[in-house]
Formats: sequence, C-alpha cells, structure tokens
Amino acid sequence: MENTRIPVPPIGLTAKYPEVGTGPCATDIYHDPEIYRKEIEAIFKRSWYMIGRVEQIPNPGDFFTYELPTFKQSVLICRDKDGEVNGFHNVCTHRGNVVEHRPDGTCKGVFMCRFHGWSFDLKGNLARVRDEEGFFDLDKPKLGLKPIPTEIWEGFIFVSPEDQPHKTLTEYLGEQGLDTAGYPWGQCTQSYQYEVEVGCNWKLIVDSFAEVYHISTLHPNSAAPTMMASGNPYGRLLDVELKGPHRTNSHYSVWADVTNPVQRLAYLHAAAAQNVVGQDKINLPKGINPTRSDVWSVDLVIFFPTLSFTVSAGQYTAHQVWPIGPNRCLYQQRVFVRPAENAAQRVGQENSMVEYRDVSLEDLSTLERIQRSLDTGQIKEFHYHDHELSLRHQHKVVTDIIAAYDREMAEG
Amino acid sequence: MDQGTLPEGFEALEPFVSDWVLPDASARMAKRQSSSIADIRRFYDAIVPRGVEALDYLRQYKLGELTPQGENLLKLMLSLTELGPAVEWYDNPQVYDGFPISRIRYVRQISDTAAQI
Ligand code: FES
Ligand SMILES: [Fe+2]
Repeated sequence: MENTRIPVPPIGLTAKYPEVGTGPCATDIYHDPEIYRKEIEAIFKRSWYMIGRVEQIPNPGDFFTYELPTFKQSVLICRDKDGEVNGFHNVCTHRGNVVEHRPDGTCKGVFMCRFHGWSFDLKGNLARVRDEEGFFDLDKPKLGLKPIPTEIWEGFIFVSPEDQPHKTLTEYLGEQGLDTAGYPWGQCTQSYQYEVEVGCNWKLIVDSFAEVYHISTLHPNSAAPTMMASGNPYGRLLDVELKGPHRTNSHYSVWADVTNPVQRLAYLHAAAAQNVVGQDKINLPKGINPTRSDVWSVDLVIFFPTLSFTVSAGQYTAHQVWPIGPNRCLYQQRVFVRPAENAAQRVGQENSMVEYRDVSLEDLSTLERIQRSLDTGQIKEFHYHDHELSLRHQHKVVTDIIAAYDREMAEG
Repeated sequence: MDQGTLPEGFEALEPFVSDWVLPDASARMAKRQSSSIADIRRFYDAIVPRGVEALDYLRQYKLGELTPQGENLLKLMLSLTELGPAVEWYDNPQVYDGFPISRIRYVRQISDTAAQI
C-alpha cells in the first residue's frame, strides 16, 4: 500500500449535522447534582444495560450474578432446562438476602439462599422452604423471584432496571442496533474484563474514547504510531455517523511497519494484529466501516448513554460506564478476542489486552483532572473541534432529554 | 525429552523462570509494577531475540496440550507482552503520566493454558 497517496480526512463532519450547532457548550451537565438527578430519571432508568454474553451460560443450570451499580441492584442470570435465558432480581423473598452469592457457576436446578435455605428453581419459582411447618399461610406461588426484564441482542444479555421498560430493547438499540447486527460478535469467545472507579462524571469517560483529536499528544508512543501512520498528524476520523441518540466514529489508520520488537512478535507471529492487518474490511454489516474505506482500522460504536464498542474486523472491546454520582462512576472494559488456534496465538490475545489497557490508562489520566476543573467552576464551556463531533452530539442529546423531562414534569 | 523447566533449546532462559513465570495476567501486571526497568530490560533483552523461535515452538501445540515445559515458555512470552509497553513505549514500568494502575481490578481473565477450542 502506498501510504503517500492516502489523503488526510477533511474537516466538515459537523456540517453534515447542522442541528448540533457549532458554538461552545455549557459544562453544567458534567457536574450539576440536580442535572444528574434528572439524568437518572430521564436517561438511565429508561435505558437497557449489557451485562454479559450467552456464551457465559451455555448449559442448563449455568448462571452468573451481576451488580448494576447505578441502581444498587444485583441481578441473577441463568439458563433453564428449556434452554431459555432468565433474569431475576437477586433478592431472596424470605428476608432479602441475595439468593446466589457466587459470581458464576453451575447449579443443580435450584438456587439456595445461604441465609435460611429457601430454594428457587431456574424459572424463579419458590421450590422449597426449610421447616415450612413453622410458617403461617405462605402463598408460595407468589413468593418466586422477581423477574427483571431481560432481552438478548446478538448474544449480548441486556436488562432493564425498570419493571416496565420505557422501550423494548429493539427500540432502544434503534438504527444503530440494526446497522451493526451480523458482525461476528459471537466468534470472539474469549474475554478479559477489568474495572476501575473514576472520580468523574459518566460523560467524561464516554468522551475519552469518543474523540482521537488527542491521539498524537496523549498517545505519542503508544497508539499514535499505528493510528496516525502515513501522515494523519491530527488523528482525524474517516467519518462520524449520528443515529438518534447513538453515534459511530470511524477511525482512519494504515498499517505502518511497526518496529517495536514485542509488537512485531505479537502482530506478525501471534495473530494479534486483528485491528490492522489481514482482515476483511469490506464484508461487514453496513454500520461497521460505514465508508467502506480500506484505510479503516476500528469503529467506536456508541449506544447512548453508556455502552460502546471499539470494533475492528477481528476483535472488539466493550466499554460500559456506570454512573454512581454526579462526579463518580465505575468503568468496565471487556476485551473480546477470537479463540487461540494454537499456543502462539495465546500470546497475541494477551498483547491485545495489555496494549489496550495501557492506552486506556493514558486516556483515563485526564478525567479526574478535568472533573476538578468542572467542580471548581474553572471551566464553564467546552469548545469542540469538528472531529470532536461525538461529544457535541452527546451534549445535545442530553440537553434535549433534560429539557423534555422538565416539560414532562411541569405538565404533571 | 525435556529435562529442565523449559523446552529443549531454551535453556538460556532458565534464569528467568522463577521471576517471570506467573499465574495470570493480574499477577504479571503487578510484577511489572514492582520491578525496576533494569530488571525488566534484562529479561526483555534475553527473550526478545528468541521470540520468533518461541512462537514457532508454541504454534505446534494447541492450548491444553503443552508439556509443563512448554507452558513455562508460554508464560514467559505472556510476561513479555506485559513488559513490551514498559520498554518500548515508556522506558519505565509505569504508563507515562497514566491513571494509577493499582486502581484497576481484573474481573475476568483468559486462562493462560486451558484449551479454547
Ligand atoms: S433471606 Fe433467604 S432464606 Fe432467609
Ligand atoms: Fe485515547
């Protein structure tokens, strides 16, 4: 590939979407506790949350539990004997202990609460009460586990924190879900997951992956050499596509002749370079590599508000942010890779995770510093570059939802 | 038959087995952070020139079918991937001006040696 012939992507993304505007944006949505309270009501309670994949529970009796930090809830997901995936609030109906205390495992058809031993089957029915004789008119059919709305998209298990979801999962995922269905999500069966609590507003974490205007300055020795090879010194994007509240950033990169020895070993001898070489960049769902560019590397597929995927042709990373206060959140990162066909490829998997983690530490370094500037009122406006369009769009989506919520409340 | 702790032909890496054969990714991350860049470089400089050979050896086996010596070689190579950025990006065990890595918790890791297919 002759790198010199590849043009640097132009300015002009924001102009495609005149409704988002071009002016500075007020920063109050990044720290104001009252706005945060409204976001919980109008945004977070009305969204769906990805908490795992179907491959984690292949067989009847397999289960995992998961915390939803934003809602202070614990969820129990299992596969029943009919092969169905069921989701429950992980709350024992006797006196409220968790029904299942382990993070994952396989049970023999019932979950037994460790407090007094009430047991529930894989469909949530109350199966057995210890020393039942001592109770007074227990209405056992009514004392099953409370289901949590649970839906599956492309093998990802989603739950809704509300008993009556504001939208179905399909409605929530919208055009973004349709455009990215069919990517081989299920082929990347191996995954790492790590998490970290960060003292910042949830939007700052979403933002930190949603622009690469920073790539040459914040990632000079790590991501920049591969993502900016061939003269894209400002790390411009191939495209940004806005789809309702969701959006996608499409990233430009060409394969540079990487000279770092460990990277070379991993990329050239251990199949780790699935984001840069040797992958089919064209036969993908239309929402991935949307411009069908052959200098495409990855897309950041964002599902508003807090789930996004960094997707390349051969592997992907999921980012999930859980707000726990106006300036606090839990960030979870999952790196999904294809199974190793041999022991050498195991090295490639680890290299992908380590590279991604260290680059992410560079990204996260800015967040608590920015939050301090916000909390102390030192920065009252953000000025977004054309290629920071995703952040401007998020600002508009949040601001519009809060305004609509205010009207909803005013009208009673 | 392999006699030592590493496959035949990789005896020169024996001195690094006790420090750099570690149980999992989380332990490798911690070991990098608690090592000096000089110690990291000593291992890096010894194993990088053997890297292609090591991967050629590992490529002959499926995960789950390695000998104990082969598993040790794999684990040395997994440690090398953890150390790559320290040497090649930062010249320091730590990410330059990075978010404190000690605040990261691994929730799920890929087994180093279990079969995947
Ligand atoms: S709280 Fe579960 S059995 Fe008592
Ligand atoms: Fe970044």
